[in-house]
Amino acid sequence: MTAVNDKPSTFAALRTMAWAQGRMLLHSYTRGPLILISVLLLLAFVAPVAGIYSVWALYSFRRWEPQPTIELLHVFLFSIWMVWVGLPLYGFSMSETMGTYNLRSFPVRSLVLFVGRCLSALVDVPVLFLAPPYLAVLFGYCQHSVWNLLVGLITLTVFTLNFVSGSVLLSSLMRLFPRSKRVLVPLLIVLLLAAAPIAWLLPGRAFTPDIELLSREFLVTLGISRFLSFAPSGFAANTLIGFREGHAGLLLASFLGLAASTLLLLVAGSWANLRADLTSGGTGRTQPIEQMAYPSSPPATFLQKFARRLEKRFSPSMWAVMGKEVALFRRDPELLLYLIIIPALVIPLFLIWLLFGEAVPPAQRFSLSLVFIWIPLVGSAGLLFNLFGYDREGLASLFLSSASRRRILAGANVVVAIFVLGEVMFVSLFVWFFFKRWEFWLQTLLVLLVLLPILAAVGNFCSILVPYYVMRDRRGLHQAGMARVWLWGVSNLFAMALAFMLAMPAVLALTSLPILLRDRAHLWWITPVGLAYSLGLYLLSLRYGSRLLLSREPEILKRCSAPTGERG
Amino acid sequence: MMAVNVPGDYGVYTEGLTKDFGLLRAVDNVSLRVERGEFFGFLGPNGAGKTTTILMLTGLLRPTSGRIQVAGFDLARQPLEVKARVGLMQEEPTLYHYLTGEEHLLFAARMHNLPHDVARTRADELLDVLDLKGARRILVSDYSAGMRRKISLAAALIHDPAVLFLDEPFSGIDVVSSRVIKDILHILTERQVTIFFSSHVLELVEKLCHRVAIINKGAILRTGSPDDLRKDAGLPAAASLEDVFLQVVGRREVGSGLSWLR
Repeated sequence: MTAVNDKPSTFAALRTMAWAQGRMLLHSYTRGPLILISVLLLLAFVAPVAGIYSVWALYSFRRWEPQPTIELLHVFLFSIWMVWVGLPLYGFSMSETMGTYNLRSFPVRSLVLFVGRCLSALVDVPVLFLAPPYLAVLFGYCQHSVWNLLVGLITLTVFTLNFVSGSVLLSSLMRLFPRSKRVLVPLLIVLLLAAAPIAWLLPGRAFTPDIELLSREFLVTLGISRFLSFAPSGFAANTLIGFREGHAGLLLASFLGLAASTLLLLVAGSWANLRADLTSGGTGRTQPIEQMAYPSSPPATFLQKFARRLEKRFSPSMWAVMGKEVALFRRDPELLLYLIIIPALVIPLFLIWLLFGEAVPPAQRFSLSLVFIWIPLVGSAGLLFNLFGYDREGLASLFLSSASRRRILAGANVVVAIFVLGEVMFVSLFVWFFFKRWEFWLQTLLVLLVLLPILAAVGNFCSILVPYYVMRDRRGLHQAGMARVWLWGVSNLFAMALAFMLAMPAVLALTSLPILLRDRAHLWWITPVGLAYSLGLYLLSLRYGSRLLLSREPEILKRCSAPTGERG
Repeated sequence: MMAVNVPGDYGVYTEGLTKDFGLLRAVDNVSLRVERGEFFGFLGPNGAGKTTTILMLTGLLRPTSGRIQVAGFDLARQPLEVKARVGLMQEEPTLYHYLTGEEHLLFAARMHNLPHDVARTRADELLDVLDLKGARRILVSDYSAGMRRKISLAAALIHDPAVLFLDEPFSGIDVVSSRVIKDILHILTERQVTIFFSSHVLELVEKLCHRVAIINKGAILRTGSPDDLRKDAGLPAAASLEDVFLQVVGRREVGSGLSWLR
């Protein structure tokens, strides 16, 4: 006769989850030196940013008058909240090691699993970056008494749980609706709504050009605390302000608001997480099969007929690789998000820059605006440096084939390069529209046509020598994969720098020679010469890269295939 | 292209094949000779090194040492020649999740340089025979485990390979499709296709395979026809392959364990 065991208590379940998270963390850090290198890299890149921001805030909290300090506290906590909640949008989900799907078979309530998942998110290296800003708040704003410090500590703890649950809620929602474009569009709208304060600033222009950004006067004039008071960060800020100013009503109401919003996020997150786990069933499926079926093919359109004609002319294998890449871009939620997130981040940033950059002389504004073309270029060109990372388990099918490796590389390069070209040209449309310099849009196109083959050439070697597996569900901070992500990040950075150095002669010729020769018509001969140079380099990369690819396929497969637990 | 240094007319030939994962030796000095057109069974308990061997034979895993020839070509020197001639159905199918079943087949066909019309015809026929026609436009990620296996088998067959590697091909496959797959395998054997077949279903192995190798802890313990293995083990002709397997690999009893179930 079988015995029925008691269900574990909430505390026992949370303790077990914390233990498992701790063990996984320990294993991930004792697997080899790579993880330590990755942590050092992480510290080297992010710690200075968090440190400088926090030291500046600490100084300002202690030195500024009460009114701007209150405004600063609101802005400071809001920025922390936004960065952490928004992590899944940038490709980093919290607490993916402690995914709840595998825990569903245990007799533990969904809410407890979700809380456990949120708490386990705090047992992770990136959480260390919360220390500097929190120390700035505690010792800059709450240093007046031990009780003040204690209230600060409790408030920040609840606040942390608030944004962690918000972040996990967002990643659960993204997991729940990963393939539906109907959901990506509302997500984009939410992102734009989050940038609503910008829209509010645009007509107001409540500052004069000579006011320093984030200065006391600017913050007071902005008065943004009025709007942020109803956000979770505002509740946290007002709790601290209420205690310091002896305003019991404000303290109590704000803390209750913070606690209620945290509870709401936990319950909503638990619901979304449960739905995501049970709907996908660990396979990534989000809809019943009959709904997922793609409609029957309509009669071939002109484009399809044209494509078939092209296919007959070119190699079927190169065509197959291109088709596969296009399908991935259309259907892989990570790549789809990649398509959307770059313009969604860069265009609002550009508009903010236009708004705040009024004090900068027009000539400098123009050259600084080139940064907004540079960002999408560097952001999207990263895909050229990891050609096999999104293939995941399908990669074995690719490498099992007898197709020429030159064609495999070329097919993938063509599709990714077209994507990069589209992204950059789309964003540059905005930049040149605001400056009314359409001729530069054409010049951007020419520069890209010369630059992309060289980026692809160097990217091919990077993809072959330092490939890395892109996890599903935006699992960027997964400890086991973190070392690879950072190692890949640094190699990518160096490879991209090398590519830009190689491209420099052609790009300089395209951008500077017409100015030096005082005639844009010279582009007619500069462009073909630049193209010949870059295509020459690209063909060389195909020649040597294809051999290297063939010899390194087992290593690439090992690095890029999904770990067993990731397979659907 | 001409094959080089072909030691005999083998479908699969390995010499001293070894694979180490750190301190663990997963495959230990394995030397195999599989004749062309032979249906060869590859048996072993979990973790014996079967899948590791198959991955090495198909060029998906680099051996630590040893020599591999498949379909008469040296894998290290002529990998593309080998890949043009092999098909692989893995225990955990490695498919593109964001392609539909039909697209995946067309992809596999074109990657083997089949003309579009041939690829289309073969894909249609495979989908039809394997009862996947209704699911042809569904993403692979939404397939059941059995459907994924069938697509994986179809992709392994679409280019008419000379050597077919099958790792647990019948696991999760329904009875009707199992019969279809067995029929396909019979046709392939008649066409002199070498089949390298790994399975835990010993009745099936006994029924289908000409010869069998038993591997345990990375090393080959026995090779021969089921009858030869029975004789070597000193078992009567009526003994099953399972009896032979258990005698070679070793039996484990529950004994006094699992006390709470008693």
